[in-house]
Amino acid sequence: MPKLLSKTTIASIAIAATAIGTIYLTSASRGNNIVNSSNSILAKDNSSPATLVSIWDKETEPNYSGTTEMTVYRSPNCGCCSVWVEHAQKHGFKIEDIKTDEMEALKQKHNIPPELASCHTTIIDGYVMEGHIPVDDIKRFLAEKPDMVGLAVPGMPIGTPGMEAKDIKQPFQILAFNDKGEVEVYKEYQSY
Amino acid sequence: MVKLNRRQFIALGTASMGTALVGNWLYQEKKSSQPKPLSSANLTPVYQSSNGLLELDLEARESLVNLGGQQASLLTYNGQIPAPRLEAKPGDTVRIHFTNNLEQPTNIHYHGLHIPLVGNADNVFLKIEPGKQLTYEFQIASNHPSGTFWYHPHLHGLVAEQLFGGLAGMFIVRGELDEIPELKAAQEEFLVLQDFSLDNRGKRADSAHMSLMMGREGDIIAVNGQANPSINLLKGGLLRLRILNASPSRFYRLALEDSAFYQIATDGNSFSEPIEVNELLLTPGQRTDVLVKASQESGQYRLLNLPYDRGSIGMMGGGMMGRRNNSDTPIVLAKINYKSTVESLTLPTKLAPIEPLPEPQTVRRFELNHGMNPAVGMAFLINGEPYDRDRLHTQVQLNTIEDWELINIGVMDHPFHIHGNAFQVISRNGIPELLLAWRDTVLVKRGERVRIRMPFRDFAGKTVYHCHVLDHEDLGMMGNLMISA
Repeated sequence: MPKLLSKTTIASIAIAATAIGTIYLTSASRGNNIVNSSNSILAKDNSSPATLVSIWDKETEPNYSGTTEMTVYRSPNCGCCSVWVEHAQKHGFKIEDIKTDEMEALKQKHNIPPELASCHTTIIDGYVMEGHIPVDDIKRFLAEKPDMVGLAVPGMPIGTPGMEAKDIKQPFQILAFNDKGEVEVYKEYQSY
Repeated sequence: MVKLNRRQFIALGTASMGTALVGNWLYQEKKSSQPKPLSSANLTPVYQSSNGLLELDLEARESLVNLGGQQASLLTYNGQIPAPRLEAKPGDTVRIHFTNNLEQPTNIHYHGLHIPLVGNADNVFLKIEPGKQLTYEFQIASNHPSGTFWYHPHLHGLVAEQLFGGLAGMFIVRGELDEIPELKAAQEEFLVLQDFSLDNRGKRADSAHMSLMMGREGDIIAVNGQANPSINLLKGGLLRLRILNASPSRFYRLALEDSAFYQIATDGNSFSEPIEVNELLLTPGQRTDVLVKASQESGQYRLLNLPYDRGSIGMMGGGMMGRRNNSDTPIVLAKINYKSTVESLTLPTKLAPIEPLPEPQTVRRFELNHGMNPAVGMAFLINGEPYDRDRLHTQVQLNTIEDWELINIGVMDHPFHIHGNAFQVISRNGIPELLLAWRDTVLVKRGERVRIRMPFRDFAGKTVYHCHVLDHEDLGMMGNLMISA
């Protein structure tokens, strides 16, 4: 409740401050950078989904001893890739986070079949990891060192790591693909 | 692990997409769905007002229908795909005795009509439970513009699913514009564009398996519930097409082979004069009225749907199996057959004048993107907030004019729709919009900043604005708008 109160107060101040001539309003205080940039409570609101408990937080590959450094390529404007990056960090990965507008060219360069594409693309240990893959499945895959290009969760299924929503969990598959464009199901999540 | 080559993989679909491919008629042109002339085969029933009253029974129910030669179990109004066409005149009273025989609650939104927002009119907060009835009743003002409007369900959380089931129909207001001699003489046809996803038994695909983040698209495109229908242009060589995009997410980039369109209206609101265009991008929710001139030798125009990339996750968006094909190649939506034995009718030179709006009293900003929200998780957001039915996100004063800056900071296109009042586009990315037009839905492309100007006229009450990619709307990209008297 104190949070709500402070939001309202700040919004009112903003209105009062700009009441002359044309008024610039936002319908929600969070969208108005001028108003809330110096406000710690609102900034905290903005930062992370800490209040949501993710089923993907649980460590299932505690004995993983492979590479922990990955490079994530993502659009600077994507609203979900950064949350997947946090998921990977929670599971011990060190991330080189590269924001680029050339995602399409990048996916072509790494032989990702177009129908497997998602938002962000990760490179680790010479493998391509496309989209919102649970990182413990990446650990399992890397330990096996298979003769494949990498893994993909096509599209952006809701419920996957970085895509958690309160009551929606879409079934999804992790697909493995090779350089001939052949695809196999690596793991399937029907319910989770 | 069973190895699959890509071809098999696509045919199988995946649990994450789950779309059963039943073959796209628009490619295959199966013999079972022989094109029929629309004028005789357009089976969409029409209800017209008489003596100032449009009154009908309307029932939402799941029905077995013939969808272009294929049995399909769809959500229908009165068993029809598309729904019955309703036609009224300015000044008429509309009375619809509605029964919900779906398994879910629903309601009806009268998209584009400028009618009351409260009571049993264009009230999206009504919730009609399964088995219940409600009589919608409202008057269309005597100064209401004539044009192409439509009706469809609008119960938040279920909108995409119910439209994808098929629930949509045209609502035509016939008025002064239709009395212009050239328009009166033209042959009038109606095209309702819908897409569907069915399994091989004709059942609708489960929402859980659709690409909700991109917005669900089906591999079957239907025009008036038919596959690739033919229109025989019979008289005078001038055709007036009223086209509605009733798909929940699919964009249509329309073009005629070897000919231009003469566009006369956007979203049911006419221009001041016809404008020659080669292409028309129709986002979900939008309508367009165009004239087509049979100006060449006897023959045929094909109405094409050209590729359009509306979102960038990779290069294909959404991961819809089979979509890759759809997005790479033009698709034939319909054919227009004509004979040049008669001299082509002339185009009208003047339609209805449009006045530019005066300067706004207030300017607001709306930022569109998807992202994590602490309360609900991944959602589509306006100014960082997902929809909350208990909040008034935007409060405006009746009889004022406002500018809204719609800023898409995300990676997918968002067509923005405001209920109740039409608006004019002022600029896009700061570049003034020269074309004066009234709209109720405007595309805000990824990275784009669109400024619109809107008068709040006649009707006070609570309504909504939202993204018309209806999965985005259902996943939070909507706000409550209170218009106070």
